[in-house]
Amino acid sequence: MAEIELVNVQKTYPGRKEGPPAVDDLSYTIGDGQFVSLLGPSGCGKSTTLNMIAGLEDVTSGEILIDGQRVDDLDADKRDLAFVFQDYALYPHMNVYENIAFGLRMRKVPKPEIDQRVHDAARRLDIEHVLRDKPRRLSGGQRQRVALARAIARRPAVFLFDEPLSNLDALLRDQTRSELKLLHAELGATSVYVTHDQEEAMTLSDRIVVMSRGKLEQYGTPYEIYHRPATDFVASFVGKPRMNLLPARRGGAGRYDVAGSGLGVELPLSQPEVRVGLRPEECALRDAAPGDAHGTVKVIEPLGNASDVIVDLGQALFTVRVPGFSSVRVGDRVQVDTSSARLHAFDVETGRRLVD
Amino acid sequence: MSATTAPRVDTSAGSPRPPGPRPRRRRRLGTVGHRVLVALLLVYLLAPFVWMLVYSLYPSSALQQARPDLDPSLLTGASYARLLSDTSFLVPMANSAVVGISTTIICMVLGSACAYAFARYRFRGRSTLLLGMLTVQAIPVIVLAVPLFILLRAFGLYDRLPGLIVTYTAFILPLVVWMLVGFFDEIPPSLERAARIDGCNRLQIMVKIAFPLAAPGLAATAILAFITSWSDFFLAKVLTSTSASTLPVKTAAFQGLFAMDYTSAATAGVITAVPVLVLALVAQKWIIRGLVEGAVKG
Amino acid sequence: MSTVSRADLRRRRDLRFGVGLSLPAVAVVVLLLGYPMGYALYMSGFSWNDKLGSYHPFVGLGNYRDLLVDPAVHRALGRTLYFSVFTVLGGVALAVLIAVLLNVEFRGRTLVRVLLLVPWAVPPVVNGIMWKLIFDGSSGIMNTILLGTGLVDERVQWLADPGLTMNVLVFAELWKLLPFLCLLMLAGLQGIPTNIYKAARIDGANGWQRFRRITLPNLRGPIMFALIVQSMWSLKVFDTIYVLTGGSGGPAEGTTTINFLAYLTTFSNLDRGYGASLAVAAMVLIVLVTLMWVLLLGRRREDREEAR
Repeated sequence: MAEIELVNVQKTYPGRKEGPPAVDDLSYTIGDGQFVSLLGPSGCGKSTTLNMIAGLEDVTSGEILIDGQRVDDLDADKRDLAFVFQDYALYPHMNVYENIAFGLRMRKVPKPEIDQRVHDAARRLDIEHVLRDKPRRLSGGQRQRVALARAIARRPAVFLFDEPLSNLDALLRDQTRSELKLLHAELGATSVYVTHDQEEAMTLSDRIVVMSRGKLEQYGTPYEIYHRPATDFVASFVGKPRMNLLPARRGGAGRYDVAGSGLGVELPLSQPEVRVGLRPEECALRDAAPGDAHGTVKVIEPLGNASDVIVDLGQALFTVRVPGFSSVRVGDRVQVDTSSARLHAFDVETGRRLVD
Repeated sequence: MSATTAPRVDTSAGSPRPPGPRPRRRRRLGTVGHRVLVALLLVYLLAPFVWMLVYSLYPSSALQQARPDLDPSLLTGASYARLLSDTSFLVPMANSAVVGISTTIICMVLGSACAYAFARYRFRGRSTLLLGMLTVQAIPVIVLAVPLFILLRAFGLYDRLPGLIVTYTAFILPLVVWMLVGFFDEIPPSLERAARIDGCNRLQIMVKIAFPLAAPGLAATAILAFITSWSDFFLAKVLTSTSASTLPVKTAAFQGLFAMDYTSAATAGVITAVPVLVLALVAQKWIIRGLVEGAVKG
Repeated sequence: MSTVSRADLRRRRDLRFGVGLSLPAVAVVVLLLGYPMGYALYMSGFSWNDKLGSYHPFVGLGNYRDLLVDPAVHRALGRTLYFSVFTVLGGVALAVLIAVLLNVEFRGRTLVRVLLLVPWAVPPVVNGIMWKLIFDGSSGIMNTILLGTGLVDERVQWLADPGLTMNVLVFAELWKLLPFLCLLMLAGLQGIPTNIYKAARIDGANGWQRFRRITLPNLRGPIMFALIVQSMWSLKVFDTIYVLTGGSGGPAEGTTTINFLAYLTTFSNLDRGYGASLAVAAMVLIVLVTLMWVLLLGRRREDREEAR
């Protein structure tokens, strides 16, 4: 169990010194026993950060500390951590038992203990029956478990995961996700988990680090990320369907109008222009009332328990999630009701959150 | 005329242009067509060798008639018995084996380490060095014949097996390195990263992970090295005389400008060719991968 | 501060490891090939004929000047050109066509592909013997067949006539190299995704057009490699010539290529200096031909777009 601290960590790739750094001035602390996700689109620097914590890549400047000890100048095998790779990285020429035991053997753990730990990990992940098989005979899901077992058997202070579920099909992914959560509850080890899937990050994490283009966008609990996104990037990245972000112009004191739609909101701000954010599932469709947006239904996407209705407001599209199968039809004129929605506002230039 | 269901009769034997519709990969040729094709190809590939084999197993008088007499009762292994009991034939044969194996071992040891370094540690000038390896193939051996002769003489290695081994090593190493770099490149980097996290140092990664994974490629390259060493004629002729002579040299000696002992020549030819043929067929899948696919990517 | 130096330390250790692994091999090659090569160049600057005694004056580029005007060299170049055109261009062209034919499924396909390696694996010396057995004027099987089927009236002296000997040589070399080139082309063909042929079909391209506009451009890499490698092999041919002609280089020098001429000069005429210069010239020729192929066929930017 360990606490991980990043202090002004920076990574620039040699030969690309003119552009923005791959990782730009990251500073945060991952508490002991916490499950923290690094979430962001591809290229945002999350994998690079993970590799730096693991010691697979060098830190250009800044420090990484585990339990107060500087580790950024230690080799990967001297830091007490285990890594689960996206492609599992199982040694094809060794069977499952040897794959799991390999790291222990390299660390000169006594043989009886190796045997006990391997069986223990295999049992936990329900792969004891394939211990003598080679990886190529296993299914994708089984290989994934072997990768997990290999990490667990090490009993490290820190677990690092690099998008471990992205190679699984959707059904298996959901199943394994729940199992990961259970595993973390049992083992309680500090875990850092890289993913681009915001659903994964939300369901698994104690806290989430949202990154974009090498920079830290927000570090908070799932609740904070969802209900108080610090930037418009976080707001649009987290939450499905995507949050509606529309430009709005100041119409009078405390009042902003979304151009060409009739939608107006009250905000205690003074900027001439802001970006207003409204989540689709917090809005509703209904008949006309003053101050609401009028629009024409363009597309209806039924999901079963809800339907996403995309409304054309004239100069922008607005998505509303309504329960069940909606009775509206394409081409209907509707009004969007935002009265019960939480209002978000972001600065047009910096993207920073403007309201409470 | 893109017939999708009609069987295609291949009458193209000998025609220089490709047949009409571009054949789709899964389409089957007409039965007549494909039988003809296969038969022709097999004849092409095997006939010369088979004829030489036949020549070695029959008395030459029987074969030199207007209608060669292939009566099985005439089959005889006399030529083989004769050659294989003659020390002046056995010695070169043993020499070829010894030189071949030694060269292969040295080349594989030095070459695999070198290839691993090239594959794993990318550095500036790597592609030029690889290209250089290929360029060595461009050197006609004749250029180096006399200098090597003088060099070996100076070290007392003329007409001695170590001299030949050293020379072959120099020529075969570039080929070995070139092939092995391709095989080492195929190992996914995440495996080596996992090994790093598992606690391996550089040497352990190379020996415990890279080499076992490239094992088939290593085997094929070793076989290729042996084949190249065994088949060499020119260098052996120039750099050896009586004691270190090799099999190809001895085999070539059976031919003469005016008179020729055909049966012995055929027998010697078969004995010279069979070991490398067997090796090539055994390792063919991996040899093709190493040589051919390296080329396609290049 | 210490972060940077630690990373540098690791990089330095990496480098040391890499160099340590590769140095022995590189050293062996450079020393054992480089030194003789240098010596050969050195030798070619001397008039050094062991038949004429031990006086070796330095003549600088004199040998090279001589070989440029030597009629024997010109003839050898002519034969080399003839031989190379047929084996390189003919070989690669045939290989492409045969590979296209072999690229379909048929019974016995795997057997054929395995056996394709046989000619490649046969040692060149043995190749010479095999073809001598077939084409020998007095006892070769080819004459027996021709006489027996009545195609000719008397034995053809394949290996006694300079022109015929050269053609036998071309045939023998083609036999040996064609299957391997086919393997190269087959590998290239299998790298072409089948979908683009389907798309072309829908777009209305017929077989020949598909061959010209899809198959050939996508085979550029393997074809260039084959041309380069085969040029090298063809220019270096030696063993087969030796065995077919009894070490003489052919009736009336019929098969004396530039490479073989260098051999004869050095070892038969014992003219080491001139021979060395001929050998160097042969090497230069190989390099020039390779460069020619690279320049002619190297990927150009527009072609990269077109191939998409």
